[in-house]
Amino acid sequence: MTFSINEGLQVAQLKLIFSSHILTTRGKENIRFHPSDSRGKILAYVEWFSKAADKPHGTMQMYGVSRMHKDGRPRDGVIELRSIVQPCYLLPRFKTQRATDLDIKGKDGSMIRIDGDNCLDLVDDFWINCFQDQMSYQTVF
Amino acid sequence: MKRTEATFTTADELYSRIDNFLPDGPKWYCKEVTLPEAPNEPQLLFYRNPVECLEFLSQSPAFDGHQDYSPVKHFTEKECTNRVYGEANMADAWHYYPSKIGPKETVNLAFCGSDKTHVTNFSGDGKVHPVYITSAQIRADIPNQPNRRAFLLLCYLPVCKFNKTQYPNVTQARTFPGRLQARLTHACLKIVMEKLKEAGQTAVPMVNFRGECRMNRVFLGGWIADKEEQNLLAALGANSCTGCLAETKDLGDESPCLVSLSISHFIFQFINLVQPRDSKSILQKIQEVKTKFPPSNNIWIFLTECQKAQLSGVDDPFWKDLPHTDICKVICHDTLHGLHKAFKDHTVQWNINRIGEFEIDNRIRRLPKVPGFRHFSGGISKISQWSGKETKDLQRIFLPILTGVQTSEAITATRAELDFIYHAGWKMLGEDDLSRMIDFNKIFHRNKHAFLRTYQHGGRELDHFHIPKLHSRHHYPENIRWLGAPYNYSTEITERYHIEIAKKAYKATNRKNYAEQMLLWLRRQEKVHLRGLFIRWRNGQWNKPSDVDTDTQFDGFLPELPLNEQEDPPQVVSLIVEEPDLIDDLSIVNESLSQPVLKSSHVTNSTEVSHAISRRPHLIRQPLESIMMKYNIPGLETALKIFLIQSSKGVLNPQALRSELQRYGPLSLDWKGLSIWNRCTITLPTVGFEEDHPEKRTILARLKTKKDNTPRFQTVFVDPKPDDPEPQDGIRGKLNFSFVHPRGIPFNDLFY
Repeated sequence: MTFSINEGLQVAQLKLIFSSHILTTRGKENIRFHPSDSRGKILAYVEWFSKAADKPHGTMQMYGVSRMHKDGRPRDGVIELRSIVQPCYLLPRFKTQRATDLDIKGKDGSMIRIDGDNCLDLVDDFWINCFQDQMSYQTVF
Repeated sequence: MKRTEATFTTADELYSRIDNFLPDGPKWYCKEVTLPEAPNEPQLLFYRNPVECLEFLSQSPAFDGHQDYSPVKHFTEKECTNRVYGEANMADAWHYYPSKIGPKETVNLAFCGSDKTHVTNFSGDGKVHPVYITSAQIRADIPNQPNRRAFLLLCYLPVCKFNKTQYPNVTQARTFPGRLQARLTHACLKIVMEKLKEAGQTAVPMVNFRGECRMNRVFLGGWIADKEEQNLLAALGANSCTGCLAETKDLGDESPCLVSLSISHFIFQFINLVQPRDSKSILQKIQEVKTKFPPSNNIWIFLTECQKAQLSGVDDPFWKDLPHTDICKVICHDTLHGLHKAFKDHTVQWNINRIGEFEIDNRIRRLPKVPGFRHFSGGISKISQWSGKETKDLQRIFLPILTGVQTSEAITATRAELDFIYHAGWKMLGEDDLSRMIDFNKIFHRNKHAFLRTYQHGGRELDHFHIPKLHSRHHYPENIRWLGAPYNYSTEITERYHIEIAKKAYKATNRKNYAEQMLLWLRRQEKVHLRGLFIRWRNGQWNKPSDVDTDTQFDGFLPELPLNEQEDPPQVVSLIVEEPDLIDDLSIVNESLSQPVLKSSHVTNSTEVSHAISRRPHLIRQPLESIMMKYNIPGLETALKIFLIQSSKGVLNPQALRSELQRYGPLSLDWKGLSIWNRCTITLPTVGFEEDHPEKRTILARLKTKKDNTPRFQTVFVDPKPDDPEPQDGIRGKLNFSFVHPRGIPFNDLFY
């Protein structure tokens, strides 16, 4: 529910970009918000991932992150939109010999196949992908 | 816009006006070339004078302000120890030539690119072999945009199969046409480069668009080509290395080109001495064969002997008389073929050999889709045509799919290769980056044996690493020191020009004697392009890149934030070597970036992040409850309350927060209706020394739409304290605050 603010960057999934309706109402030019007034800010609702491990994976040199749950619900929070620094690209962690082990059992007992669309939501453990683009490569390394 | 009526009625009329009235580029010449050993197959060579081409490029208004004339040295710090290589004028070549020329002369390095290409699709095999030329005085960004036309077509080399020539026997009939082709190519290039040679010996005046005249000494600076053509140009056999004396059996070695005594005629005291190849050693080798078996006596014996001596059979290479030119340094190691394609052809294949196609495909299918990047939904094993772009897309995701099945050595080797490739893609490389590249290469070689064992899944066995592309990686660092970052000379550039200059031009012909018709078409195109430049100049729309993206949808909405236009120059200390000729202020003119549409909100030192969302939200006045339902985010209300409490009272401990939360009561009316956006565009800060147009990324947070049936919620990096100024340099320092940064860690600690 709460999130202690640490040094460094956190990985999160962006779920909603929003603001108070006051901000976008017509005639907003007349309303001057005080800089500390949250109604004048654009906010984002995010679901947090764990802090990246101190050390990268031994051979791959990539950092792992995991979804954080509490009482079966994701850890969440509201932040200012401007505290988002850049996209973070995640790839699932394959831990076994077979990729099909990643698939999960649905509530009705049928297997749900992981694919490009549901991967981020259903898988818990990821690598931060530093090879997605030169920007990621130079910043995450 | 007013539509203007065309003032011509027939195509003929249009063509005749273009031909008669529009100014022309450099003139074309035609010459018949006949090899003495193939007398009944005369070939037509169409070419331009390279010096005229360079003059033409130098005058063009399109490059005004994008030209550099004096050599510079850049360093990352004040102590001037870590040299940076980027543009050609920062590299050693540009520092070498001034010592060879007069004090009042300017260096003009010509960069050529060539690539044989098919022009026919289904029938016949029409091939053309265009050679392009540009000047290294033009900054690399410009030639990399094909619509700027910084590469001029220099010549069409004739392509001939020598079918009509009588060969002594069957095996020779199979191998010798290629050798004759090499001889023909060199004979033609000798004619083309004649004027370039003269301009290297005596200076030529060249005027730029501003009317400044410089005495230019023209040298052949670089040649962009794939591995096959590199060896053709160097007059070497197919598997020899152009950078050192390595031959086929040395290509898999861990270290660059130790002297192999069995081949070399020199005897060195130290076995580990790196022996670079140069023009002289190639010429000497040719001379040895030539004196024993003169080609004028019997060409076929000469060719056979050349083959034995790892030569291509050329006895008079075109670069022999070019002043101060070492062909081995001219040849550029390119990234498209040498790195990207090699990665796909070898390393990916080796990994597939072990893991199996089925498993690889299964894994790749399960990776999340990333907006803006390709997703291999069907796996990779069924893809038959790999373009450079697809290979790069595969590199983005390839490493993590190896975990769980691949050995740790193989993963380490793959990682090291990817690191090498990504480093080579930078536009600026420091001395420290180069030494890291050498380290990555070492790691790769130390672990590559893991690919030899492919027990589990069968597949092709691999028993050697005698691969020219693998070997050429040893030479990238020296190449970068000599010519600048590989960005300046990737074959991707020439392949892009092919579309225009070879494919489209061929389509405009009737397929008979197509070279001539292609030239006519290209001349007309060039004239029209020139006319277009003139009109743009007349209208004062000058120096605006035609492709500035004006994203009107996102027009900076964030209120009360300062507009930060002035960017501090990056931390680069420059030593500008005084330009011998005309002193101009070109080298200190900073290109003004096109006015960013977005407002900045976040400044970290010299770089900045800015966010932009559309002025109109995608949804307005949405009740909080319905949003929580629709987006399936029941925690929104509580999270928002916590945010409001913390922004008014500061960060509280969990206990205090809980009691505050209980006391808070319902949200005020202000928050009962929300405005929702689907996306946000972030302008990324410029990293390191790269100070060109900032990159943008759009991040999505939306439900499914009519077009896209999948909800998209992207993952992001969040800086919990955006206002905290941190002492690190820009985003790199800030990001790596949470990570251990391998930069600066000694090599040995990095891997085991």
